[in-house]
Amino acid sequence: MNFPRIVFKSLRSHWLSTGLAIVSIALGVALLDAVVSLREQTHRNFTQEGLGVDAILGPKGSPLQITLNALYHLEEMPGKIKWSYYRKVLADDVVADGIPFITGHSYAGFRVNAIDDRFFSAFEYLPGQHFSFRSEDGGQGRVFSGNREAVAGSEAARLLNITLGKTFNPTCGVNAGDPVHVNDTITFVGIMAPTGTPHDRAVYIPLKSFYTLEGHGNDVRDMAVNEEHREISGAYLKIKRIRGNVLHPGIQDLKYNIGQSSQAQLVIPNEVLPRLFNIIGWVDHVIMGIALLVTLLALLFLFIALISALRERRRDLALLRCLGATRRTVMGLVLCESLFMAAAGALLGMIAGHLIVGLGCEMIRVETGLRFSAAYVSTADLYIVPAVLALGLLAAVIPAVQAYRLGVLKNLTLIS
Amino acid sequence: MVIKVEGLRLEYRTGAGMFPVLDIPSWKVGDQAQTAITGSSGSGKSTLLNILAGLLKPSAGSVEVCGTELTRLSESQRDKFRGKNLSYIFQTFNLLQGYTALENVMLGAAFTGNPLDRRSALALLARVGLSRRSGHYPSQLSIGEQQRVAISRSLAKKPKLILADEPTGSLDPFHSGEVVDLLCEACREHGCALILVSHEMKVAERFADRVDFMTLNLALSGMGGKK
Repeated sequence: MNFPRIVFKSLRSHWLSTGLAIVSIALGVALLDAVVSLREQTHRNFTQEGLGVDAILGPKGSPLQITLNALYHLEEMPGKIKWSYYRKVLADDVVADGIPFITGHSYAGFRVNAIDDRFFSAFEYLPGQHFSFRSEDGGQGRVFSGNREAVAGSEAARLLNITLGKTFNPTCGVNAGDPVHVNDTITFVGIMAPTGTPHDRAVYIPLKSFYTLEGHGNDVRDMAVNEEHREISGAYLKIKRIRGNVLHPGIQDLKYNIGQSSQAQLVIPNEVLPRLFNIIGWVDHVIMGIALLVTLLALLFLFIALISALRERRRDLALLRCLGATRRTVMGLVLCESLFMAAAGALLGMIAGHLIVGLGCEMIRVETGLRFSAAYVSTADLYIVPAVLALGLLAAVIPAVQAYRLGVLKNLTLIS
Repeated sequence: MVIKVEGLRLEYRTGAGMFPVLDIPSWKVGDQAQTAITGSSGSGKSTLLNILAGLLKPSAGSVEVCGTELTRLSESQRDKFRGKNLSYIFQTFNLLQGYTALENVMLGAAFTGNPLDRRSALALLARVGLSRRSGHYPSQLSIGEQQRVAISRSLAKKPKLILADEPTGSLDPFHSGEVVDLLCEACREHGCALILVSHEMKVAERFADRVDFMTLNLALSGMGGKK
């Protein structure tokens, strides 16, 4: 009968309060772990190298709105920019490449963007990662080549049951009730391999097909042939790098110069997205606060469980003292019990937290196309066990001191 | 000598001044001796055992148990001393409720630095006729069986001295005699001294060695002689 066995037996003797304490700690930790993991993964998803885009050339308006529209297929573009102006920016010394696009159409709730076909060959949705249609990557078909062809992101294809050869008529707008281009039937010729980015939730048609849709007016149709009149929603820009793969510092001058014009603005996603988190930061703090409060309440429960267990076991502890256990031993017993409950609660909580994230990731992927992972190791995973152990020790201080000061004779009622 | 007491006094401070509880000028118990202390309720029998066990510190005097002067030890040292050298059996509630009979026996040696293995613990239970109840919890044992488990546990650490405080107080006369005989035999077999406190003369009379009387508030006025 060694000390760990005595600790285990002691925990088992008050199994109900032990179990409840472990479950309550696990719930608190699970909530905290899941919140931190989702929060960090959200940050990571929204700030991961601007989803392969160094800068977005967009119309005048909210930079956040432009970023959300161009990269996350949310919101609407605040306007259009001239093709000629895009060409002028493209010619700038610091611009390495550009991919123009037009947003504003949709199909069954998914955005339909007209885009330059170089999007599928030159664009890197993450550093070094290009879109793929290869079956071994999970893709199907090919890139569009004709005006009445389209490709779908993997998530859009899955949710809309899109198969190669299926046709659709795009909606002119992104809101319910917007008119449908009934005479413009487009055929899906490709389904992109999953990327874990919002691009999985979009449908793409050739840039030029936008101008040739029958439902558009003559002024728009004229843009197909007349570059002088052509307009686009924006363009993804790749900026040249200097030594160390650092963005060319000239980007700031370019941004300033474009900002001075009346036609467009240069939006740098990595500057804009942190602002989004500043805006919603208070929500973040409230959720974190609630999760912390739940964890602290769980530790308070641990404290109460230890105190009540101590009251029930005063005679047992006095007997142990009689058998030769020192004051330190019985104090250690209470501390170890608390540590065990805290550790078990923290570990179970971490597992539960990852399971919650696992369930949440699927929902988030369906709703946003962003890829979250249950296996993601968050800051909470690194610190939560030592933190809960430390708090578990703290919760056990008073019960342990009470055990230390336990009067043996008083609790054995020996006097005769 | 397993016990050597000189000038032992214990007083409690009360509102009316100091109240004497024990006053034993001199008392000795030899190695492997079996001594019964009898006396009326409140005479200080249990208090004396508590002092001998190091659970209580006397107001004055010297208490040497197993060659160690207890009054010079700190509480922690007395705990360790108790863990190594002596066992204590109470009237009731001797066993830890969350532990089986076997585990209770093993607990007896848990704080000696030399834990008891399962086989030896089973042998001790077999010695008191409870080998088939080793997996039973105290609530599943009769009071007499619980006392027998307590006897097994008291032997687990191979003590030099066993202190038994009214070990038969909750038993009927038949089981009472059985438990006392078992305790005496076991102590003899293991070569340890036994001090048994009982208010029942019949219990004390079963002792082979000697019977000491404890009179109220005063010294141990031993009959000294053998039965």
